[in-house]
Amino acid sequence: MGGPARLLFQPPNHKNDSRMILRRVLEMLDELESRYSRYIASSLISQINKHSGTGIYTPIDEETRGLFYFCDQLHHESDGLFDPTAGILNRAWDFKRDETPNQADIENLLPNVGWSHVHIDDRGISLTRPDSQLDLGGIVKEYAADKVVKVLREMRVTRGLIELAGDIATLGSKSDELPWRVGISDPNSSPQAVMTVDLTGACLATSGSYQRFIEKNGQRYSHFLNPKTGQPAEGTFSVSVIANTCLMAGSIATIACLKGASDASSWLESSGLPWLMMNDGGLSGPIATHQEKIPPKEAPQQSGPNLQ
Amino acid sequence: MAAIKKTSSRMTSQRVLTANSALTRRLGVAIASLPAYHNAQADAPPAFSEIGIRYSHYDEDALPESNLIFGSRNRYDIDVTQLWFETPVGGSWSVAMDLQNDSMSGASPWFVGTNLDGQPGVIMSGASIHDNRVEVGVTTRYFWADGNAGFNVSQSKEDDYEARSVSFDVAWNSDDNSRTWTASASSSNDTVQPVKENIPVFIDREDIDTQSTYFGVSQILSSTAIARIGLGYTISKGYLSDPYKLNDSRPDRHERFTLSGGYRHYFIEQRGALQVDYRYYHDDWGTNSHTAELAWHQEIKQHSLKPYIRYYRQSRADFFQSIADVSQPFFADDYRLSAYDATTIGLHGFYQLDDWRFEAQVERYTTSATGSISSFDKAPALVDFWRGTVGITWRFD
Repeated sequence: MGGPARLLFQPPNHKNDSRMILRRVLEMLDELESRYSRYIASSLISQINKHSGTGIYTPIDEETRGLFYFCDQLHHESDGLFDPTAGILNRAWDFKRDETPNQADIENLLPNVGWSHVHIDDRGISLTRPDSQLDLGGIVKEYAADKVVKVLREMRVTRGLIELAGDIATLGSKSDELPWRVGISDPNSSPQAVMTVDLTGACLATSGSYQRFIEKNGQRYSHFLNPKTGQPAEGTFSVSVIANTCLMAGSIATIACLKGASDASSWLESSGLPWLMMNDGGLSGPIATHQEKIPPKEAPQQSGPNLQ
Repeated sequence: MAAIKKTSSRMTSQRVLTANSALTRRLGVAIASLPAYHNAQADAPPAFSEIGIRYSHYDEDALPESNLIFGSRNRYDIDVTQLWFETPVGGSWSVAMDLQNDSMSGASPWFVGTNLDGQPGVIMSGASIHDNRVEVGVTTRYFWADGNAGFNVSQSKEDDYEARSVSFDVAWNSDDNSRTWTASASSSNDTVQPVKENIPVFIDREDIDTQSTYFGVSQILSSTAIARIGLGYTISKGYLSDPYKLNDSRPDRHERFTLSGGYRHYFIEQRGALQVDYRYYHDDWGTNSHTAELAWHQEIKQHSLKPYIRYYRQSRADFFQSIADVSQPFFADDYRLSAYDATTIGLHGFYQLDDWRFEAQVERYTTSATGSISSFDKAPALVDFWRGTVGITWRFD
């Protein structure tokens, strides 16, 4: 999954349950990664990408079909900004070096970007362009967090928290008296928390361009790239969203970053979900306006099995 | 980036999460189709309140000249106005209220006789009637993790008819939320007190009692397909004849059975869904019928359009004749008991604008007599009609 992970839960009965539950969670995460990681040559996504432009349809199961259906909905709700074929634009934009690409490099890649190049029917999935590539990195991590909650629930766990690279899903509350209190990081001094929120069976997902950007001549270029133009979304900021599922929270947050600084707020407002935006201007959003003048009584949980 | 002051937010997740929007509702439907969420979606009352109004105009075609013996060719026009309101109450309940007003005018067939050519023809009921019907219903519903149950009370009143009914329904989901069982039962007590104006009527006041029950199951077959099947039973006792028809004497007991099924298949790339429905009907008056409907639900951004076609075929009741034989214990010339086919073609559209939803629907219904070997089995009063509907719904927190 490409980031640190943390799992906290209250085992239902015998202490041996903990090991069995942890094993089930790890097996599920490994299985998801082996299926949807584009860095694993034998993964389903890699197989689909290998057959791009050949007319070959790769069979997909019901779960994968459901994920692509969700991608299709996100693509339309975001007016095309969410596009799982946009990953190839990273060949032009190298965020490990502070260099902006040539426009010609971007324009060479754009014809292979586009959700319309993805065909799904009863045979499976096919990419019509030879250099089109699928990348589900925008949703799989959040989906994995929700699946961990499902595994915990199936194992009769009633209290748990899973964090995957900053996205958090909770099951029940921490105790009868206390919800799960989680921190939202300060982009300037991660992992310092600027704010804590209380979650009970809810999820918190954060997207932001504060860790991956190119800075040149005083201008910051976000790593959220517009699939239509190949250009980065304007502004660098962080968005956190709370929802019933991590998939929903993460999708809303990601699309907010794709919308850019000027349109993110109206998109977040339209979701009706609690959200927080952090940028040079400070904090905004319902999560920020609900703050109380109460100092945090305890830091977010640090102990628990580390899955990394 | 300026330093951000450390604060604490006591925003409570569950309370705030009830305030979702049209956007998250649409995305939530897509999420719910994923197997990982099938047992995570508990039944819950609506997260919002809703108020809506709908207006329909129903317009029957004029009777063909060749089928008319006496009276006006013009038939019924009906204007229906519906108002509804639904709101969550607490964390587990919802309440809904429905108000409907029907305003009817026009003439209806009084009886069927023989014209100068010896063919069946219609004698209409004379001067146009004007009637108004008002119906009020209240439904309260309770939600728990695996299902919901509702209780409804309703009453309707018009000049010559009053109806009172209660009903109960329940739905419960399997552990993995892939299957939903539904059951319902209802009971109504009606009173008919015909108005004595243009045509003679032969009763003062009569009662009708009706009980019905339904049992069904729906099954999620895949992330893109769902199917359902259901069985229904209804029994009515009391005065079941039509007091405004001269030659109409029906049994005082009527049992009906229905077997219905449906299938929905969503096509991801086309963003549309195929909808197929079928219903078989059988009653103890000798009528059997088949209804088949085919529709295509097309999503257009956050709006939708659904063209549909419905075919209906019915056999005649045992005691129906196009010209009633009044020497028999039971007899009727009501076209609704004859053998006929009906085809409905319609278009239903929804336009979503933030929390407002606008709808419009138009239908054309045409009939033709079937299964007859002589003109005396064909009902000359079969009706064709147009129906148009417009509506507005507003959802709010």
